[in-house]
Amino acid sequence: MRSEGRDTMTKKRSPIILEKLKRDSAGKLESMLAELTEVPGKPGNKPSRRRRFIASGKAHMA
Amino acid sequence: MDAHEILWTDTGPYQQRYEKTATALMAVERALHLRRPLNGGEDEFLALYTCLAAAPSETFTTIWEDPFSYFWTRLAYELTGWCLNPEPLPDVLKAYCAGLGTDEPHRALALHLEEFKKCIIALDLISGTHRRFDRPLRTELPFSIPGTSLSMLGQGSIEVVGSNGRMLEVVHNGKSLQLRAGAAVSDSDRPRLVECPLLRDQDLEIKLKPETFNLPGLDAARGFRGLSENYQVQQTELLREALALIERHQPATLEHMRELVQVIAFKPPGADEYSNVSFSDVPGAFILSAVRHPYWIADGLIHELLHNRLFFILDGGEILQDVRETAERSEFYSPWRDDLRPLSGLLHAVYVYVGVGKFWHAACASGETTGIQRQYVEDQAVRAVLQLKIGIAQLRRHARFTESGILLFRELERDVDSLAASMRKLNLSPAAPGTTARSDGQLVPFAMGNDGRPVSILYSIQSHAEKFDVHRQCANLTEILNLD
Repeated sequence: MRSEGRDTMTKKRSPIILEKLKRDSAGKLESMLAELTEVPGKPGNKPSRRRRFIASGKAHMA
Repeated sequence: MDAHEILWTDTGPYQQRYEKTATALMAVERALHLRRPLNGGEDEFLALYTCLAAAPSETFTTIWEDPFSYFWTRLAYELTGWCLNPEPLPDVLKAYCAGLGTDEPHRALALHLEEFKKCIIALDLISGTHRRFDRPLRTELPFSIPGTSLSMLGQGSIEVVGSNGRMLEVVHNGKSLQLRAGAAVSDSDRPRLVECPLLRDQDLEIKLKPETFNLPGLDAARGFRGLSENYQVQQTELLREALALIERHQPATLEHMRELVQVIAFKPPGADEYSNVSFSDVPGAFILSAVRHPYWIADGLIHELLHNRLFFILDGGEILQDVRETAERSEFYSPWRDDLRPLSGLLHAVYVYVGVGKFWHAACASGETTGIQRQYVEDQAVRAVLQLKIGIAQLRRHARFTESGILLFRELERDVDSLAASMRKLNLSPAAPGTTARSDGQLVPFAMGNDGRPVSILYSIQSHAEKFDVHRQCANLTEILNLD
């Protein structure tokens, strides 16, 4: 089996800076805003329709 | 990036999802600012948003990576979208509105915006800020204060008026109180601010905080009813033993836990219908049954971590086609469940059991167990392979994959082939006696046959299919298992 070594891992994540994110993700932000504010039927990002999932184990415990 | 990295090693999706959620928060703020669907009822939220957005980035990130923040933002996005462009309300949103005590989405949005004050309470407690809300936060006890180790415990409703440095000003049953973390109270129904147990192990820090799941529309908190306040801290030794097993047999998983897991909540094994559970709307948190067997807990930790990881991976792009909300049917046999499952459920199961299977194979290879412990470890290693072969066959036959999903599924097929090869290399046999863990942690035979002897692992797999594969989707089970 292939190993999953630590060398491929990044270290701690960077902090989220909203102002920077606003610049870097301007396209995504506009797309989300369009989905929220424009009339239905227009193309846009649809994150709100992503399937929810509840992963519950119904264990076969003796 | 190759499929193996995407499935097992890349930590990029964690950062990307938190950033996407923060972008959604900004979109909600701008939409409410521009369109004012609540005719001014959103003003306090807009002012409080400005305070949170102005917080130091480390503080914002700490609060933002709490599972509550994703839960809140996703619902804020959906409720805002609904109020601006009404369309039939999805069932999940209906359940959330009902949990808030209304069936009217504008009222639900107004109440939901109030819940944002939990993030502001966190901000004020972290920064020692004095604040009085325009309107008190009216909410139900107990609740978690996101991004902190603090929860407010007690029974019934409470109004949080504001914060006074390191204390919260609240009104409970008409009486004004100031709550400071750790202050003793004589009556367990009275509101109080408590610190949850923290498990620190090298770089890992996990909060044991069941209040995280006490959210409207979520029934998960049922399993914690009546538990003593010491229940979580009583499980820390068990958790440490399980983490030591993971460090020994699958150390890379600990790195992902450090990146992803914020909260674990233990419940008694018999409480509620499920054993362990993860929610895609509460990422970075899961509930585990406190089965007193470290290998069982290690399995559960890896299992739930991987469900959470798959939530993050799928947020970047689907693997299966046609899995939009409400579009799927539960009609497929799963070797892990007694009920029929949707294909997305089978995909989740295959993914997590590949990871869990690797753990059990590493434990087998170490030779560290003897007697019935060894029998149990072997059972889990073999069972994972047989069940995975069935899961892969079901997906191969019934699922339609996206373009990128085809590559990821091929990688999962290769993973299962590797586990099957490992099973042969370790001389593990499907004919070995099936062994399982009881809810009290005792290891026992999986079942007894008519001859009074324990049934084999293979027999238990075949029996499950005979009983629960009601559409005979795996009628060619011998061919699927391919054990020659």
